[in-house]
Amino acid sequence: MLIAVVVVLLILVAYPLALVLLKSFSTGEIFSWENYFKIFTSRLNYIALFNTLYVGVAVTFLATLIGVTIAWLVTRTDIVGKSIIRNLIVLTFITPAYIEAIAWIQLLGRSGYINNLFRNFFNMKAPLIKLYSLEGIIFIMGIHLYPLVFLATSNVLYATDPLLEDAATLSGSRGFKMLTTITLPLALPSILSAAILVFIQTISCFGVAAVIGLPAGKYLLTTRVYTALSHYDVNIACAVSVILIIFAGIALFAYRMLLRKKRYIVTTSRTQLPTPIKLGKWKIPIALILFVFLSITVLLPLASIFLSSFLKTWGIPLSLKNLSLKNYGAVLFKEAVTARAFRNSSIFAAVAATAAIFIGFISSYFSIRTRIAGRRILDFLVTLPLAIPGPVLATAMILSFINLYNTPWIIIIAYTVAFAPYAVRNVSGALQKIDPALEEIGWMSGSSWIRTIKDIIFPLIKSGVFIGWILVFLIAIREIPLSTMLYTQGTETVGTLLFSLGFETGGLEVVSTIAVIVMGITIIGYLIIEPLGKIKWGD
Amino acid sequence: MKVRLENLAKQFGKILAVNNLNLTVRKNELLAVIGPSGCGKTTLLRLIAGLEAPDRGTIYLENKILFSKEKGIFVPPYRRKVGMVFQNYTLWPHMDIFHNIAYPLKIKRAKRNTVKREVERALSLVRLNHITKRYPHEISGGEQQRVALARALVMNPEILLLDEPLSNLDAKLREEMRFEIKRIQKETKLTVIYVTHDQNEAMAIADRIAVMRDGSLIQVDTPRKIYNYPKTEFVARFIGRTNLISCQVKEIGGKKVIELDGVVIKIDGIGDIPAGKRMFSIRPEDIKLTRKGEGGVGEIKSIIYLGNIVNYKLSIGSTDLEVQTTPAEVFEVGERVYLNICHATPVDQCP
Repeated sequence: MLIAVVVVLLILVAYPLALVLLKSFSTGEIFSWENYFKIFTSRLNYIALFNTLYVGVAVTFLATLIGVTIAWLVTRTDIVGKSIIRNLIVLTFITPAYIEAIAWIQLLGRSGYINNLFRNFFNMKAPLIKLYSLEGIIFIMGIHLYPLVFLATSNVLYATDPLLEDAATLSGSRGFKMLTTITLPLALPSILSAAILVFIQTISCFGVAAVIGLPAGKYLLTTRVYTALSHYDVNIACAVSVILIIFAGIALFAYRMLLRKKRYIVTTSRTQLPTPIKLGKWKIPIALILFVFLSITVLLPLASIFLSSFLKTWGIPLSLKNLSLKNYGAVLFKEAVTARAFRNSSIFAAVAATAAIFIGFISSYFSIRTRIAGRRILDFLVTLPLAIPGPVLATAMILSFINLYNTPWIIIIAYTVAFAPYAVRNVSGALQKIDPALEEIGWMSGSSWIRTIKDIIFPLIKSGVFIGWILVFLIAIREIPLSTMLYTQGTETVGTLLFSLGFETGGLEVVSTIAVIVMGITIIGYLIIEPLGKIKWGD
Repeated sequence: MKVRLENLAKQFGKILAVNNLNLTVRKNELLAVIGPSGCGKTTLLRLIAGLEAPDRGTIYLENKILFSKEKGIFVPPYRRKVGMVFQNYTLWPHMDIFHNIAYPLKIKRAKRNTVKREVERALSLVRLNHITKRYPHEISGGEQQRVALARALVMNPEILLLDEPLSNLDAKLREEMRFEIKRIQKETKLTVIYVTHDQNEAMAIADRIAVMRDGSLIQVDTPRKIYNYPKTEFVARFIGRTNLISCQVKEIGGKKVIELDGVVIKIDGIGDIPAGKRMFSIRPEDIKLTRKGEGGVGEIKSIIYLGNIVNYKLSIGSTDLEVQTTPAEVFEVGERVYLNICHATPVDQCP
């Protein structure tokens, strides 16, 4: 069983990546460094490299700053509306970044609502804010990813033994001093590891980078891979991919190292928090600022998407007589392409989620429960795709499985490989909580290995498996880079529609309609799995 | 320094953690506060430390008011001259031992030389000198506890508050640390309030013991008095093993006797007690057994022989009694023996 899965993963993960590496060194038939040389000499390439680092670092900084600040306010002060703040942040997080980008285009784009408003009021020619820029990407990704830092930081601030802070109080420490010498240093490993995840996710991001960056001619490495490949410049696409993997790989390695260090942090099972710091006269102003921030970053974009989804055509004013349900009818029933895309996405996502869970279970089982040689290779292979941005994986898939190119299978395989790490994290989280003795008693009762898994293990990890399946399904159903680079006529997905229509001003009302349906599915899925246990978002 | 608490009260939701509590801790005294879990003893310490504010009452340090609801006084923890050690050490995992201990001094912006000198002084007080560069997770539980003590002592507090400081240590280390705490207290002439749920610990090191229940103090006395003259059934049962029996006190021929299930037992040392029905605490070792004699007779039901002592269960009528004797004379199961009670304490029944 172990060998079979390792072989499958070698074919699906290792072989494609090896091909990418090989191609990156080839020009024609011979081994050469020429492609890399081109990257550092051709302006288009090294600017993309520089842009990626700039955006990555800036987003990480922005997300960490916002995430830590709000986490501290929610866990350590007497700010009002804590659960509303938390829920709005979760809503921000589960909203796909690309949908947020579309919303911001609607608000701040050339004919966006806000820019129109200002133009009419102040008679301005230039748009208020230049959305199509690297800073636009930083803004959208920062807003989208700070919840990762918020969740990690607030979890650790909740779990830290409150007596550690009491001891500091008795030492005469308080306020800002307490924050900088005790509270934050204790949370630092968690904050840093969340920051690294933010960095990885940012340099891997494709949809936002494309829809905001490409119209302005601003390339990141991910979009560079995409354009190189669409110009059949395979070798350059591969070389850029390798550089991208190296960045993400280093970050992932640093993340793993940090996780080891985290174990020394004292946590408590007590739910008691330290006495909240009284904000006093700042209580209302700070809460107000926070709610305005959350309204602008979550509610406003979602409202824009929602209202636009009823617009007869993009560009006409938002008034009651211009709204109708016709977009929904068209998207779901009338238009063959959109209806097919929804059907395709559902099927692809369901098949991929099932396969990912299967691989995830076997990999977690072997790495947690056994000492068999090879379990580490298995774990490594399964979680490796965390460091592989979508366009890179798509390139690898095209190189390896060109025979499958005209079939749905290439997309399903790509989804499975890309999202198996999420399945692994959720299944292994559930598996770790089970005492191995339960299983041993099963064997001693005369039950076979398979029978023990079926009768004892599976019922106990059911909710972890279910959470993992739904999570993979929700991420896959609106996946963009893999779908966009791997689809052909007949295998369109929700992601390919969102992506292609996002560039056309004329398509913004249909994109909104699709986005609202995607949001609906996402929110329902989240509400189903949220009460079942801890959801692991890929960390 | 003397600590005085007046009508102290603290409520969490519906639970009265501390209920109208009055207590005076004497200068240089080691007072053990003992009680079952959830009785409010930890809350009491936190109120004295200033980590929580009481709902009512006053806290004095000598004649200085640390807290008064009525006068609106709340002296913050760091001006109270208290040091505190918590149950699970709570050393800061991101600082090495030196910086853990030096932290309070650094907050006070002490000079570098002073910091070094004071940390060394505190470390030698707890007899740990060579681990300053290590981190908390790299040293043993016993060492962590010494470091926690050193951190509390480095500020030269007047009062040392210990919240179950030894309960995470194994039995042998625990005994060693008891003597260490006692020694440190004598050396530093500190006033120590020591919270524990372990009666042996309290008996071993306390000058006085305060027994707490449901947020109130039931009895505050020296260990000997608490053991020999418990005021209530609860105290008698909580400290040491005891027989709690309800019986008739009678006077026969000028001598007090008790009657239990129709059996008359000779009893000494119950003092001046009026005749009538009463609850008594009789320690197992205060019952003497003889083969020959007079008075009440009981039957031996079971024996546990422990070498230096022998424990018996015996019954008088429908009442079971625990008896502990030396192994000088060992009785057999089923044997009928004469009982002689040499010490009994009348106790109040608990509500």
